[in-house]
Amino acid sequence: MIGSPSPRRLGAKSLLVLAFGSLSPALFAQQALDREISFVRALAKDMRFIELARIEAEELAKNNVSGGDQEKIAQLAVEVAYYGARSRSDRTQQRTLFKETVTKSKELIETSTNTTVQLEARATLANASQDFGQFLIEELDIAREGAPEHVKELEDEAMQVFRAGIEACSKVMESLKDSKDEQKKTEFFLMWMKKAVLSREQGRADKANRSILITRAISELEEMVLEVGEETAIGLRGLFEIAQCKEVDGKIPEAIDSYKGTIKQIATSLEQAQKGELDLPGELQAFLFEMMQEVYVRTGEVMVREGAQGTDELFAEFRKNMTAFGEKGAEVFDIVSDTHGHLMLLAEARFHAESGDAKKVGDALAMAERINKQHPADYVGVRAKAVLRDILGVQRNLVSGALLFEVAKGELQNNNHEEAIKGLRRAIPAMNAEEQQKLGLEAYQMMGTAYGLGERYLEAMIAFTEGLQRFATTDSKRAGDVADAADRALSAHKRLTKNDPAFASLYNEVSQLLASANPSSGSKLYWKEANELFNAKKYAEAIAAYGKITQDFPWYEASLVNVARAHATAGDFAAARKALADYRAYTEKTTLPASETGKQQVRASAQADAEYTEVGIAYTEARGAEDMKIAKDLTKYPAAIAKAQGFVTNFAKDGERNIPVVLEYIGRLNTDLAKLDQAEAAYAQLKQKDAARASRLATEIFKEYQNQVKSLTTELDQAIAKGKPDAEINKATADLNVVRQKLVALGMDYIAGSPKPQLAILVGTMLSWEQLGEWKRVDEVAQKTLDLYASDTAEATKRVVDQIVRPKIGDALLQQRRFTEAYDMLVAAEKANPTQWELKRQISRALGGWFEFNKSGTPVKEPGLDKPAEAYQKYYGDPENSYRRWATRPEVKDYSLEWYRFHWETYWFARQAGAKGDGKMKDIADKVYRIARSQDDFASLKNHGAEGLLLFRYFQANR
Amino acid sequence: MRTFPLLLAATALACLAPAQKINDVILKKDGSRVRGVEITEFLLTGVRGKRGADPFEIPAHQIVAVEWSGAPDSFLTGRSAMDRGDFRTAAQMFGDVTSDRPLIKVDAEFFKVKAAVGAIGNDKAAAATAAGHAKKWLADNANHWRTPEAMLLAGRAERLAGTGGVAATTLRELDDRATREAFGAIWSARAKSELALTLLGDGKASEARTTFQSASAAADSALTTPSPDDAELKALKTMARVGEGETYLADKDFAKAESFFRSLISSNQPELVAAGHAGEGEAVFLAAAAANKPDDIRRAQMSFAQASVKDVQSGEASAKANYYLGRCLLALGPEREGDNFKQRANAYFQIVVSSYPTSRWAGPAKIEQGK
Repeated sequence: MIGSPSPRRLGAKSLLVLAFGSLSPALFAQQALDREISFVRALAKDMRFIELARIEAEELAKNNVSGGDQEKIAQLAVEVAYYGARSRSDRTQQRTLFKETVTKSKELIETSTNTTVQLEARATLANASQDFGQFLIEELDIAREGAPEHVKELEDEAMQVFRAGIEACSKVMESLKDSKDEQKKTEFFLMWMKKAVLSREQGRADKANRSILITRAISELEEMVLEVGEETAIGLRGLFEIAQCKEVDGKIPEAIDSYKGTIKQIATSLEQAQKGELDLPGELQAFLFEMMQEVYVRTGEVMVREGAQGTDELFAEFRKNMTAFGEKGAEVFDIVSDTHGHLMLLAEARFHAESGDAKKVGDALAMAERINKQHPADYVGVRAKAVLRDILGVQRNLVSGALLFEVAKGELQNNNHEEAIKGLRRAIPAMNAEEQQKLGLEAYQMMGTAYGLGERYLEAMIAFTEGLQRFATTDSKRAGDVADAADRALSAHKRLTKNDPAFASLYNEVSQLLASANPSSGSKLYWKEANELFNAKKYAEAIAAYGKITQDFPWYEASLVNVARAHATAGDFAAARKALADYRAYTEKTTLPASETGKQQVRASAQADAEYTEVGIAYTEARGAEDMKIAKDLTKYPAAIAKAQGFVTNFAKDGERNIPVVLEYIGRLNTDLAKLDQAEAAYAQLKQKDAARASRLATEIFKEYQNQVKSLTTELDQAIAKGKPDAEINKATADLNVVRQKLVALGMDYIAGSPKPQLAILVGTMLSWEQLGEWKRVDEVAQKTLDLYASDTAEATKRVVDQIVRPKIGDALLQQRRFTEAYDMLVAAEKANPTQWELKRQISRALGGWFEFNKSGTPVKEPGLDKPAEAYQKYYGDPENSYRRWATRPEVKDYSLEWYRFHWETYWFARQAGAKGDGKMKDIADKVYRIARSQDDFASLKNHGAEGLLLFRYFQANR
Repeated sequence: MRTFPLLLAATALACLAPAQKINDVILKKDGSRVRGVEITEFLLTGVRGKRGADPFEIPAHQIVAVEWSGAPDSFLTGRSAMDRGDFRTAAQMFGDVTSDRPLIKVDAEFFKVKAAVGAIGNDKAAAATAAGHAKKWLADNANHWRTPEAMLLAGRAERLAGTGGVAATTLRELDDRATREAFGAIWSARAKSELALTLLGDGKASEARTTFQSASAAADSALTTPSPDDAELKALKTMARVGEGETYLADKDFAKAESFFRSLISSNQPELVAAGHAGEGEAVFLAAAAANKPDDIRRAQMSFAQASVKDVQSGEASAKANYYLGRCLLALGPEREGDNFKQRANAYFQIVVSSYPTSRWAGPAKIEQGK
């Protein structure tokens, strides 16, 4: 048995290199960065941590930015890509990475000024050229069998790669030739051999120059073997390479003899090592064992191709040697390497398949299939697929149904759906009775699956049902799964064909078959039917269908609760409650074993649904439902709220999906009762679970706050009108503001959480901020409103935006004393909207300021831009374009609030202008004042609520 | 042991050895391959050559194919193109073949004819050219193991060129020679099937029906003795029965065709069951499409789906079923088959083109894809 490594004679160091098939470019002195680079290189090369190495290389590149360092790191990255290519089994990825390695190595050789980096790049290029070239030779083999039209371009590409590799080898050899270092000497010989091999492989691709190239390769190899010694590992390998040169050159008998000679020599060495006659380290034995398999592949393939005598004996000898020198007690398939060993077994399979002997063909197919399974995307897998294709193309009648089934299974796994279908159609009739019993239904299941994957649901349905009809009784364990698959195909087909009645008869037949094939299928169909009827609001029919579901069905308890839900949704609460009571009675008398975890989960969910149904009933009975002709009944609110709260407390887990609805119920019920704090608590919880639903609840609560504000405002107005003491008025004002604060808090929360808040809530919130004197907030909300609704063309929306929201922006700027900014904005807005009168009023206020009492009650004269004469002109003086035109329209009655405000503001602007020495303005101010007080010395203002009272105080304070 | 000197000696000797050993391969109908031979002669009765120094002869009826040693790239490319149903490229590639071995050149010429016949489609001029080439090949290679196939190809090309009378003569001659010169029963069945198609193409539906029946009987007769041709004989028999049903389609007697194919469905031979479903679907579809009856197209879909699932031969029935399943989707349109109906129809046509490239439905499927 091949043992553990222990380097000895025969160039042990070189063995590692050979085993990895590449040269180490780590030939050079190490500094700090070099040590890091060596570490990363080892990650990729020795440990195959390619991704980690790539990340580390990127990290090094970030941290070492000098030109020289960057070159070294670039070389490292190329090496990592190279080792990545070698470690891949997917050929597409391999091709990309090899190509990248070759290209980047060349770039580095051309651009680098660092000789060390150049040399390393050349070494990498040499290694990569050999591997990439070998890869392309394999591609050529594949193309010659499957796509000969690609042969020429592949040959051209291969030749270029080999040429570049040969050149790189020469340059590296030049730098190593005088070295006294043992490792470097070894690397020199390896590079020499590589150069010769590249030359041979170039000859394989280049028919025109084959002879010259092969002669050159043989000459190099002979010289190299003479120099290194044929008894060394390198020498032995060199001999094998020479034999391959002969094969490429068409000297087949000689090549076969040489191969056989090499095999014999390796076998002798291994045998002597086993007997203790030769001191051969385990590592070297392992190397020779692997090389023996490689030589066997070459020999076997060429002998099969040539129809050579003794081919059968060669395969027998291979198996004997593998057993003799490989792991004891294991199967040959596991003893051999998964590269050359499996290729040799594949060559043997091909040889046997060509015999025409049924038993041998069957064995060959089984082996090819086994190898194919183990190599999904690599070269060995590609070769295995070709062998499978050949056998099935010609000798299908010699192959058992079970094997054809396995092959078809592989096609399905590789997503070759039609090939899988074809294979399965052939496999089923080819199966004997025993195979059919065992695999028949599975074959139809796979066929149906293959059809389904291509959206061919009609065929899928037929395949599944055909399988069930023929094999449901002989493979009852699988029947349930197949019935489920058929049911899914049926549903998918219904969706695709929009449930065309033309298929009704087929669907019915399939459904009946499914019901008989799977005991729970009948219930499943009733369950689906009932749910569909429920969703179609056909509650009586749904209840009837739920009633047909049997107790063994996993969702039986859910169906019992759904009966109650159907009754409740139809408005028959009494029947719903009875159904729920029946269900609870059932659960009490039916204990579920702990092992029935599925049914236990269904019970937990059904119990939550039952409770939820009761919550819904209680909610509807309290709030009423027009469509059910149930009137709102406030007496039922407490019970409904309690029921809902109970659900939230007790069914947070099992009834999680219904928690948002129940929270909304709680919010709405409390809102109706004006218990807005409780409603907001529900809203706060709901927000975390269902933002859209929370948004809807917020609008309900908001409206209720607005109702409360309205009610408190009326109370305040009445107190003012009745001349109640200031303390009483102040308290009423404070109470009102408390509710306003809550309103704006909720409004702002809603606005922040909703993607497009309702306009009414935006405006309501904005106006409440205004009432609270929070102008920055007014500005924020107004701006947000404009962002969302300025482009809305609906007439009602446009009116609100233009008449209420836009002026508020100007107003807010003024209130924040940003007069110039406000003025500019208002003038621009007026230009765009010349008939927006409120804009003219705000412009006047910007120019001439206003009078107010601050929060402590102290009177304040705010001058604005201190241009009262201009303000007056804008507000009153211009008979056509001033605000006066709007304020004196017929709808504005004398001594109304708006009338008083107009007179106050006219008075104020004129008074301020007069105070600046304009006598005419002073006269106007006096005149306006007299008009305003002429009715009852401003007493009427107290009938206009808080705002009226404010104007009253303004006049009083500015007599 | 020092092997290197031996190797060097061998290398020296090798310089005196002949260049490349010929290594032809003959693939036999029992699945075995005869390797390491040099084919030297083609005869009507078989293939002659030598294996090493030993001469050999393999009878024609045992041979499936020949793989040439060192075949030119254009030969290999042509075979590959033909396998995937790209007959035009194949014909071009075979036309480019040059070789020092005359037998390879003759084989390439034969495959050029075969590819040209495969590429005909609806092009009568191309068919006439192919027929001319086939006749020339036959004239040049009167004594060749591929002669029966060349005669069959010639007859097919003549049929497709619209020269039914000439084709019938060629095919009757093939049928006669098959018996007289012992080509094998399968050649008689093949000739009769092709002749029936010729008659059908000439509008002689009744005569064609009789000939299809005769072809079917010939296949049945041949099947009484087990041979490596059994699989093909079964396929031929299926084809003859299908052809018989299609004679009713040619007469536009859809009801009769439907009834005929339905009778095949109840056959105890699985290959006929699928063909019956496919034929029934075709009869229903053609009638429904003409009368614009979507419900009947649905009925056709169900028949085609049955054919697709039950086709144990994985051949013409599947190809026909998939082709018509695509046609059904196009006929039903988005209202009945959803917005992706066209995409799904094309997927069906692609299945025919990719997975059944040599079936007679591959051409029509390509045409549908191109619309």
